[in-house]
Amino acid sequence: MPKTTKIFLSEEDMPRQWYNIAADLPGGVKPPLGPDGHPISPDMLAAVFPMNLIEQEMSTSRWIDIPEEVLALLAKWRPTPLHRAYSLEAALKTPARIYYKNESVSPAGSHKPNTAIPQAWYNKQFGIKRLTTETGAGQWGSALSFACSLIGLECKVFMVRISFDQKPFRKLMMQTWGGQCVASPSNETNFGRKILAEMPDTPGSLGIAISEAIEAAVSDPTGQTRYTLGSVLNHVMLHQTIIGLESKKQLALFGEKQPDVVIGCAGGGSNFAGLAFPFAADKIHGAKIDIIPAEPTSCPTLTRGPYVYDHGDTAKMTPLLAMHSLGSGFIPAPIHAGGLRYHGMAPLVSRAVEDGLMNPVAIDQIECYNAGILFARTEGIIPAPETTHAIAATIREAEKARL
Amino acid sequence: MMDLVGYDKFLSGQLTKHEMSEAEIQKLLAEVKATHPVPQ
Repeated sequence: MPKTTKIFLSEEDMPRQWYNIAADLPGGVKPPLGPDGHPISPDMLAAVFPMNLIEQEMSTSRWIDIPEEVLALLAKWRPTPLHRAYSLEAALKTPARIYYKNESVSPAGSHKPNTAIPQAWYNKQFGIKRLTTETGAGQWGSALSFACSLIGLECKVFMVRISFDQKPFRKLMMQTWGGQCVASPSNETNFGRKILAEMPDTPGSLGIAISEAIEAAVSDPTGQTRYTLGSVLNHVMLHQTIIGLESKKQLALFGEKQPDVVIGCAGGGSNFAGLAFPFAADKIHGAKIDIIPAEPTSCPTLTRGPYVYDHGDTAKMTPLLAMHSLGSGFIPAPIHAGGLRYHGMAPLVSRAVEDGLMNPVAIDQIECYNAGILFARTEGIIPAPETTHAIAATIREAEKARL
Repeated sequence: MMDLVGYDKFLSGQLTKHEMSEAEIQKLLAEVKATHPVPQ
């Protein structure tokens, strides 16, 4: 019999609830602060997010039901397969057993639709007609455009300028799904015009694009526009845990009791948290698991950034979030992993690092692309630049296993 | 297909590391620590 290379779950086996690590973090959750230094109240976010998502953002309930309509839409591509990387293991001559969760099978090509779909759905339930957002490499903007096309909302995306120039087909994807995409900083917002006046040649940043998207949402006189974020926030981490929850079931079907190491690339934190948080829950309850977020050396938020209160965007429109940060004015170097070019890190991921649950590593672009090439030439899939950070970290761990 | 530009740069030897120097990192950290409150 040939070896089992991948495990699929049936749609009936899809998780019916998201896991909320806010219920279990040893250090607790630090609430966002307003300009006066006091914790914000839900109504202070009402111009930006619909109240149903604000409730999720502030929830400490351990399990939150996934609405049936959301599950039905996620089932267009979920559950996603878990693969055993036999060829990579052989190339590395490692005794380690390497598995990877393939989120690239979604229509947008990444994990981002896992939260785009619920966010669009909750906004539609609340009566919202239009969503604005930012995007780095374009995966989030594509995913939100896809979700809005399914659910019936307008979509406006501010794409970081350097990525807009490096990846022209991303705009076409968004347009095909009915989304509108502009390069950020743009002339469409006061903040965008201010940045262009000060730094006309700036490559842009996610912090700047977030500011523009928020301004575009709150300045709509009809009040029917809200802002969505593809990472960082608690409710986004929550939605992404479907990745790790499926992975746990699939690992068991591979005959594995629990992993020794869990690795993901980390930019804003959602892809990493999606996989890692369900395993972090086991670690909190005593399991011996090494959990490794992998970030770029050019944007070393977790490995070098202090744990402080900082704004999520460059214009300082967001509340102050307790997170590892390089400063909201930090503009990362124009690496190709645009999705990892963010000055901050999800507060829940940051808290988990502070609680000793995770051990971040920073890896340079050259080592990452070497890892991507090896993965492509063994496993066949050409990984996204962001994903190469996780693969490079995996290769380091697999090489340690040889010793 | 969208992300192959980086592979093109890497395979043609044009990709750079883009690392911050230790001095740049220390300057950045000093600014952040001086101006941002620490969660208690």
